[in-house]
Amino acid sequence: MTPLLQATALRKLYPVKQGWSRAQLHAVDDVDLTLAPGECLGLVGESGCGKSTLARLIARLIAPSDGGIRFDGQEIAETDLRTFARSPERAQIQVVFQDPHESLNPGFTAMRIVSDHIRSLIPGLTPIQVTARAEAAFEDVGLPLSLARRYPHQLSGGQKARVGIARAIAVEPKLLILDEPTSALDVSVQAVILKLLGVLRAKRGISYIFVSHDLEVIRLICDRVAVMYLGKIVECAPTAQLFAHPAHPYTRALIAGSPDPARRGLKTERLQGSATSPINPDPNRCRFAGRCPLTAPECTAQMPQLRAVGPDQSAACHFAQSAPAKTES
Amino acid sequence: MTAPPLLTIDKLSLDFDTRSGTVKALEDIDLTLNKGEILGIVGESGSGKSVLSFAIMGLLDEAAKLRADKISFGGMALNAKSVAEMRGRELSMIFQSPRTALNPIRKVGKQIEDVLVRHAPLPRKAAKSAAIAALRQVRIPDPERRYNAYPFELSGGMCQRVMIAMALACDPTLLIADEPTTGLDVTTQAVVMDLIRDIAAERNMAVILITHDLALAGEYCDRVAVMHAGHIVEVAPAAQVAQNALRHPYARRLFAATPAASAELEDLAAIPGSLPDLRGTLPACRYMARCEIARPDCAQAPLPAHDISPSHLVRCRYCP
Amino acid sequence: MTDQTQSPQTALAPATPDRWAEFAHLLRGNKITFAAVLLLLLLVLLALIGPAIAPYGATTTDATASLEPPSAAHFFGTDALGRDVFSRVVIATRLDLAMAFGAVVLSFAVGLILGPIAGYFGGWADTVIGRFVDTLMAFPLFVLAMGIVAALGNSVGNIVLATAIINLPFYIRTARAEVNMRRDLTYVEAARMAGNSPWRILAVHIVPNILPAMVVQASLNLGWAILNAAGLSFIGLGVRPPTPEWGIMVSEGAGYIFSGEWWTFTFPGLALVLAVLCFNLLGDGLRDLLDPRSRT
Repeated sequence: MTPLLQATALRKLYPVKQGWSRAQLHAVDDVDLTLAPGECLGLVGESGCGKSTLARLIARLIAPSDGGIRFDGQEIAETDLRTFARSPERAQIQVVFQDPHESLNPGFTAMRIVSDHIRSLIPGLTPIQVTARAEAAFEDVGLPLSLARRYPHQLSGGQKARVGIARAIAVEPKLLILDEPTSALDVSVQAVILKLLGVLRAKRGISYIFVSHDLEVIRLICDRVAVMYLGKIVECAPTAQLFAHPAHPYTRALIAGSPDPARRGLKTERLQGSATSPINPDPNRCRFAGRCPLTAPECTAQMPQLRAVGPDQSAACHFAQSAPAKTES
Repeated sequence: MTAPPLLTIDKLSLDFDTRSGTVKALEDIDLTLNKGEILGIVGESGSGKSVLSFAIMGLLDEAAKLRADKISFGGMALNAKSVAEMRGRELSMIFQSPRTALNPIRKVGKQIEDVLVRHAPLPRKAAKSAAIAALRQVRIPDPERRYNAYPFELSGGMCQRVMIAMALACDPTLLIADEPTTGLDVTTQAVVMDLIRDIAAERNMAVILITHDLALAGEYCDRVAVMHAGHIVEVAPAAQVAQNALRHPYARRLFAATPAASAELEDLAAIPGSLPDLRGTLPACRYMARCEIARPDCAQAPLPAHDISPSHLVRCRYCP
Repeated sequence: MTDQTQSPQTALAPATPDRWAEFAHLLRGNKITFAAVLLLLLLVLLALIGPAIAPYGATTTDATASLEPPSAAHFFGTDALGRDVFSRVVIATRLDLAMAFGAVVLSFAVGLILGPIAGYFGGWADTVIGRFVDTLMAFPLFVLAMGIVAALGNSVGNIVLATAIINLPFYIRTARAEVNMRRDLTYVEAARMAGNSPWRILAVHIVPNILPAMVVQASLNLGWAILNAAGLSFIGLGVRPPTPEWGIMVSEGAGYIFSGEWWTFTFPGLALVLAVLCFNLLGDGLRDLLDPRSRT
């Protein structure tokens, strides 16, 4: 099957000043990614690992420094952002933003937020068609039309999240990029929104790229997971495989770090320290070296490349196969 | 277990007068906490968990009307005056967003020293070595060098460890940790929580952990109190969380809504309805309107705490 | 799919925003703002119908009744030319308010164009506009206003212009900061994603949301604008006598401070104080109304 999305050697560098000299912050560094139609891919990692930057690159909200993005058979990374925003492909890739409050115009009603988006992205619709589409989107996200006349500050967190999702799906995208869509919500509301996203995917056949720092959320909603560390994908595997047999030591640390009442009283080996700087990293050194319990001489001499370690599973670690593949649970 | 509890709260209620009516923020809170025990107070936003911790610490503003049959701490009645004296001595508190709680233009070592010196007069030199020892105790690597760091030079997890070091400086018998790991990465959260648990054990220090994360409370606490709309609906040994043995309908739902507790997306449970408006008259059981096993008499007071075992109390007449 | 089943009483806010009801509620809770609103209504009323209710003409002299103290015939007494101070104070309201409003409207409008451009586009636009503001601010503002009027000539129009120019930096700065704060919010990003042009994003998605902050700024500024216009007249650089204007009246009355005819300068001075106070209090009240963060 031809992939819906294929990113190759995607890179985003930000110039920074370090003392007197210029340096570059490697936010996303040489990332390859594929997404099948209808698939849900999770991007997970700690803050600052580049998962949001990667999502925004794919969403064409920011321009990559280097690399290509093929979407639906078309190269889209070369078009500049302003031109892309007015192209028909724009409606195909939509984003649901993190903070449901900040992502809605406080001066617009929910209805206007959604219909303004439709009008801008799908030219040539009559006002009646726009309203019909917006109403259909509200229905799909389970938001009663009586609430569509309200302003964001009159809606609850969960309702605002629904408006954000309605805006994105109203233009019938093929790919929905969800940037931590539930991290600002209470667990009970998060549960509602996650289930809604599951239903929408089944109903509309949309592909998802789901960015989250919460491995447990990723586990529930994604088919495949890419784990990022300091701008690199360090492991990519089908969800079940990743949780049952994590190949990269960082993935293991993430899984072990998620709170689990079943682990009460157990002393678990923890990842100490924090990530090294993403500014001008040593290209010949594993980004995780130093923090990694497995650090060996070759880790600081050669950057491990992402390689297959099992069916559909790849990891960027010299010891990916030799490391014991076990989980704590 | 005949030692008297460290903290006893009997029938604590708290009202806030606002221009749109009186908000019944807390009602009939009963709570005990033993020495060295870690108690998790779990609830969603609006459940009153933070307000409860503020009430214990005596950090409420004037609009708050606090009533209680009894609040005693270490055998002494807690009131506005005694709590102010104990705060920063026997009682200590850490908050979320540690970076904003630290003075941005003072070295972290100096900030720890300030607390140490205020607690017990020390010569400057001894204070410095005590501050470095405090940094070492919260497992900050290379404490001599970190002593000279400013908050912006430290990561969020590191700042929270500095806050913990400051809270521990006065050797408290009770530490209230209000969402101490919100905003931290999972790996950092695990390190900080391990630290709190280990220090509590070493010093026989009681901890009240305020959190929205039932899984976190289940992993690190001895007992868990689940709050909903200003009520404690269930207090249970934390081991019951992992066994999915909570009884109250809300607590069960909350557990089922936690991603960590679900195997599949289908298992994830939504909680119907939303929090009731805490103004005006409320039924005795504030979960009633959302509850699947509610009966008409759930609206009638009194709503007795129904004990499954001496350490497991549920405020529900009809839960299994 | 269940959090939609809210009972009406749990809804976070009323379905239809009733700003007026809320405003009325705030006024009841805030007596000072209420007083300011009453004062504003009085001032506006005087500005509209002042000449009709004034017992005497503004420039009607009466040589037989010069420098009379307040009495039943002349509430505020009379000045050296025997003109009724009360009538002049009342009639002057229109001119003073008009000059202040004119200046504020002018700087509000220009600030609402330049500030958002600087705040949204950044780069050289920000630099140019920023330098312009810095240049204005480098002068003592009142002296700058004096210079402008002196250069352009003594007329009501030029007073308004000068007052508008020296007020401009505050509007530009407020607008710039408010736009800058919103430029990278995700709702703006969503608008950008939808292919909106920068101008449409500014006009439709950002500027309407900064209006509350700008209106507060304008209200606080009105008092200052009145003082400024009156100040220019006071030093002889504004409206010419015999036009009734509070600044001129204070200026003319100032000559009698030591001879004891206090009413000649006290009443126009009081009018100024009340007007300035009214707008400042109103600004504070508006801030409470429009900025939910400062509400309890």
